[in-house]
Amino acid sequence: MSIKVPTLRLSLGAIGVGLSLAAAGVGGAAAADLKLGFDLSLTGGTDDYGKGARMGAELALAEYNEKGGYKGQKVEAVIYDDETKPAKGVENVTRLITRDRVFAIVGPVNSGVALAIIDIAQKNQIPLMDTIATAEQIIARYQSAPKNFIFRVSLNDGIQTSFMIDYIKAQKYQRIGLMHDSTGWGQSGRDTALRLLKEANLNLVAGPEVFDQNDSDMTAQLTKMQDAKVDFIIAYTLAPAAVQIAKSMQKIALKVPWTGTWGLIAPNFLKLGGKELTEGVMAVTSYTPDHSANARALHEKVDRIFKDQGGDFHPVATAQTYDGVRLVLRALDIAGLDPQKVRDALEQVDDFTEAVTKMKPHPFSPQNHESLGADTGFLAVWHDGKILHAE
Amino acid sequence: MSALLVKLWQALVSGLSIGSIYALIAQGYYVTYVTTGALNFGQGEFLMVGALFGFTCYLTLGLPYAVALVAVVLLVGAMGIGLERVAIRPVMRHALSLSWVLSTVAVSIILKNAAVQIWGPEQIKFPSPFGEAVMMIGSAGIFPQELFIIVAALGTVFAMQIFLRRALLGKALIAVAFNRNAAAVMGINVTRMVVLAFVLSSALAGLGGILIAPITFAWAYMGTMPGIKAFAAAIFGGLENPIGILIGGLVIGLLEQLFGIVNSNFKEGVTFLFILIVLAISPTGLMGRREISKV
Repeated sequence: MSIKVPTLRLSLGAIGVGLSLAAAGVGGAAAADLKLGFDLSLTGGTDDYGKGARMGAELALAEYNEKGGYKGQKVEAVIYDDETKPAKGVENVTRLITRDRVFAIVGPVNSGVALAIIDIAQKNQIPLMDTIATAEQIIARYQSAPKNFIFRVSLNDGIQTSFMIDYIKAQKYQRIGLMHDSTGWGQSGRDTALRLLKEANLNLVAGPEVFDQNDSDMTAQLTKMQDAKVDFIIAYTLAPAAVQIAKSMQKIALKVPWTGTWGLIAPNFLKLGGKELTEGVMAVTSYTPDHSANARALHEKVDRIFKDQGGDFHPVATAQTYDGVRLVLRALDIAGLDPQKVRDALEQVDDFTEAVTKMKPHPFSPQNHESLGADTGFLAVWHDGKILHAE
Repeated sequence: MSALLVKLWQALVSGLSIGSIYALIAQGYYVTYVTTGALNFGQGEFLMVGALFGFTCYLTLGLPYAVALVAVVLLVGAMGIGLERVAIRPVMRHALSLSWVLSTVAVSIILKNAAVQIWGPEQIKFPSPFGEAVMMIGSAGIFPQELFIIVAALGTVFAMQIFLRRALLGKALIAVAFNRNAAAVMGINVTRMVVLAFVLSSALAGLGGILIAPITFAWAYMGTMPGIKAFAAAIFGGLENPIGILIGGLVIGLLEQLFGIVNSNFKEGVTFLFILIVLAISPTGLMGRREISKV
């Protein structure tokens, strides 16, 4: 059985204006069209995430439409590429709202783009479902507004470290080493880790050691970890420097389990490092293809349907977007084609048991727009070029 | 105590590899400085082009690594002709002109932008032709590519010295460096020698790029730091002394690793502080010619 997606298209230029006008007539002045808008990075620095997200989106919509769609009508996807540029994202989202009259928006991929576009969604009262970007501000900015129109099905930056600590405690590691790159992001990660390690009464025996994100040799930092006999290392690093860490560990024959943030579950890490270097490296995640029955089913479908596009090459981006889009469609079924009511309905959905990520059946509430909070993240481990649930 | 020795040995091996790249690129600063008084501040970007063009030859086109290496040296060397023509010759008409600083930086920015358009903004894996298995030298681990870098970079530096001292063309270049007017009177085509200096300088940077790419990845922004560190090596060693520059490059590579053992937070800062101190004591660098002024 193959799922066809004939109603989907990558709209880059001419949009069916005539169709929009016709549909607008049916729904009344305030209502939107039966269109779901997407702003994704399909080119530029984070395009892997965007392409993975598009698979999840296409699959969720195709399945929904095949079951009859919204009152017998198919929901159309309008997908724009923001090229990982905030200005382009602003242009796309404005066009989605004013010209395409979408009832909700899914995206974006990049946190920088997200922080530029959420203001537009909030101002126009169109619900926006962030399924990738992780900056805390994305949800926090409008948390105290009377109605926050921004929702997230992705791990925020702040909570990721807590999953590492949970894992360390569960595995009873005693001697922790900490490394981070010298960027602002790396330093804030270090501060969070130091605080949480202290709260958990865990022993930091080496570090914090710092490195430049373009350093090619980390042996100086790692020999100190080796001397201190660490049994687990936390590293705030992007994929390129993570590969250098793994290489330098090989050089000095240091073999300890270590984890990075969720940046290391991206396919880029595998591309730069290869199967052998990434083997055993861990990363924070909300999903692995093997963590639940729902997850296994999705992974199998994506691998089969999108075979010609590389199969399930970015499982987490695909899974989170698959969940995010299905939540928006559930809200559409509950509330009808009114963006503000769709927003309210998103907070009401309380039986979403088909999630493929670890989110709970009642993911959102008026107070909480982060579907992936405490107890919903865990560590994944690279094995043979694939990410698996870390036992 | 032995644990410290193990660390020092590892730092020495790691530092020599990166340091020899600095030394290689820094020789390029030397050869143009002595002939024209100008430097190519885009050396780092010429290195970057060497790495990415090498990637295209070696991995995209599937040429053997040795062929890719020669192709890179030829292409980036030829870019030296263009550099001299558009960024050096037009602005060097006045002896005291400093416009070459800006014009070479301008070329480097253009190259960086062009590289993003051609090869994209992300790091690209450049597998080493010598494999990825760690080799041991005593207790220190080293990748075969790093060993190759040391051999190839130092070999090139010495080969260039022999060329400059023994070959007719090399001697002509040195003659221009020694006294431009006298060289011209002796029938040496000074303009051609200046072009040659920029070709040599660029080719060295390009070679550095394809050598280092398997260690650092190849990407549009890879050249900035090596360019600056090599510049530091050239000044630190003494801009007019090729042996001093060689030592300067190796020392900077080593110092970074050694200070990294003490405290990684200050590794680059302390390295450059050390350079400042040396320059304060000896303003023309470790092995630069002493300025003697009669009063």
